[in-house]
Amino acid sequence: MLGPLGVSEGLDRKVLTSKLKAAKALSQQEKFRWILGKWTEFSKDGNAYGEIFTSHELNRLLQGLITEDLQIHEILQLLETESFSVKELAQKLGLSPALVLNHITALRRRNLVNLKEVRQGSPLYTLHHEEEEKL
Amino acid sequence: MDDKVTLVIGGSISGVQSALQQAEEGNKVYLLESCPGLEGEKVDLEKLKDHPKVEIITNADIEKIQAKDGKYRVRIKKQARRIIEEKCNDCKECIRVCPINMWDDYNQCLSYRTAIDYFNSDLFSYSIVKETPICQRTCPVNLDIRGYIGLIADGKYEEALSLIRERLPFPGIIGRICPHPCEEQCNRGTKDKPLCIRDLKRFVADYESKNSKPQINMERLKSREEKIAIVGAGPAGLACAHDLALEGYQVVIYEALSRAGGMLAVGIPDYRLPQAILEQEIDTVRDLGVEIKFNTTLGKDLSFEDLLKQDYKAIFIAVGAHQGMSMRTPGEDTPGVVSGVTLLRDLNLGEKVEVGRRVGVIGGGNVAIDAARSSLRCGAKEVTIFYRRSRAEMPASEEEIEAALHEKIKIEYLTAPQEVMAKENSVKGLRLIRMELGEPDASGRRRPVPIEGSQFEVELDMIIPAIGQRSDLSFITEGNTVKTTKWGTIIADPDTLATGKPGVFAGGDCVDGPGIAIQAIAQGKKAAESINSYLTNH
Repeated sequence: MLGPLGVSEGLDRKVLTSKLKAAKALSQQEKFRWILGKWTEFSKDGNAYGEIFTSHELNRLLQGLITEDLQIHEILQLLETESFSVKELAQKLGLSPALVLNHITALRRRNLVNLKEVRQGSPLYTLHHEEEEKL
Repeated sequence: MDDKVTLVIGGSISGVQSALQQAEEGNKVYLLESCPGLEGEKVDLEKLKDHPKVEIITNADIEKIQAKDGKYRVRIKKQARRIIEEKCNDCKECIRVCPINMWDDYNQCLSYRTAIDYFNSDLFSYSIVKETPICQRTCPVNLDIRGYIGLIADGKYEEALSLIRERLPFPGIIGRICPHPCEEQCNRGTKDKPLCIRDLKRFVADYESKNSKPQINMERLKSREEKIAIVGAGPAGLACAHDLALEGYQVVIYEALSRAGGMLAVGIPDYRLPQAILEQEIDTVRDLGVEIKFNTTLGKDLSFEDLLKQDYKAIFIAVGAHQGMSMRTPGEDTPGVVSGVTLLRDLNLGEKVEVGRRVGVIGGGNVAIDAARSSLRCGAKEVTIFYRRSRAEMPASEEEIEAALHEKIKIEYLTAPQEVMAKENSVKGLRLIRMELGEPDASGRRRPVPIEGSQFEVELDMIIPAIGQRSDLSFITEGNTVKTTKWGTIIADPDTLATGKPGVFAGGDCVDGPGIAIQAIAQGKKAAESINSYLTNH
């Protein structure tokens, strides 16, 4: 679902390392394992309300989870060492600033990212340190 | 006034404040909010939470407001939170692991929100959002469309069919003739084209009848002694009978015609709905033990009063709308003027039907199109539909209009009949007048206005008015507690379908006026539910 990811895809070794690191963090997440673990139950007996999930729905779920959470992990990785503005993050990751802002606001709400300072009118974000190891 | 009860609608800051104000004045207050949480100052929310006079109803919407004797009755629909309140201790761990990101419409979609989320930490407001898809909300019987299409995509055809049958006993019929309001709403339509919801339903129904004997796993789980009479074996009556039979009741249907199915049987031509399919699905209802008494017209073979005297604990009237409406033009009683519903009924009942060489059909609905296409199949050489508005206002479904045009049927828009021209007691032609569209009328469509001096004549051998149907309610005599409107429909409570007489319910076209089959089925199901609760609580 991630597609090919390697040096032969023209990726810089440094970028590749960080992408793989994000992918690894992603695969170790609880929620990722939960979906896979519940797969059979949800598609056969359904959830607590007896609502059965078709494999289309589950795939869509997983696909969304992978693409979005990979972006989220890449953002978190960048913020690990330095603080960045939304614009800088977007540029580094090749994502649209609007999308990064969405992720950042959601991450702030989940107490994973904090506002560090405002430099030249742009807010800079950093990891919320207390929570760091929980991810 | 200490017995005043106030409903505050909207849980924003001002809503919260007015609720508090009302409560402090000593009124009982209900605070309603469509989101799972409230907005407001922390101090206000704290006060509100423990206020003995305030009841907070979040995650709920108003369905209906009725005013009577200076009081209001409000019906509220509350969505399930999908959270066990006693177990939640506000640890926020669920948000961290929730795999579903969705747009946060509470904050104008500026960011993401997880499917499980809290809205206000001061009040218990955790909930899991799972919206009902728009197609399902549009469907009168609330079919789980996304569910069955997903199952079809997974190749699980039998499972898809049994999911459909949970709400709809006639997938083969509806899969063919439904004008599919769901497809108009389908979100995919905004991208390219909506999903073929109706055809997919037909596909699974056909798949089953081709590959195995129809297996209905619907079994009567219980048996009850109460006998229930249903008048009319149309979609509403059959759906009601089906659901009541599953509840265990003894159901008898009285049908005026020699065939069951109502308009499905006699109003829809065979090329749209083959008899075999119809009968196969009606048999599934009879297999549940429902008895159908044919050729029994209420008011003729059996009076309404006599029916009421019989041993039935409840009666459901679903006689439909089978009488063609009059054009109110001179010469309408000339032989050779046959209403659309009569023509279709005679054709479907296998009676000999003679059509002219040049046929004119008046009207723009599906009956008009069906009558036009049917007369072509009966040997007419030239068929023209005369409709008084333009194509955009035509109520017939787009694909039916396309099919008619494809069969070389002509449609004359913006024309209205003025007089049937007859000679020696047979139709010679029709005088019409051209129309133009004026201001929108009560139906929201632009009202056609005649253009002075634009009369013209066409030569025709047969004229088929198909300008609407009404119910034959002559069985309801004056002084009956079952009342009718001046438009010739029965008055029934829109929620319960109960009429003025206890135990007598009415639904379908004879209450709502001519509508679509799935709507009638929805009414039949609603009647079954009402009758069940009426008999259980009495």
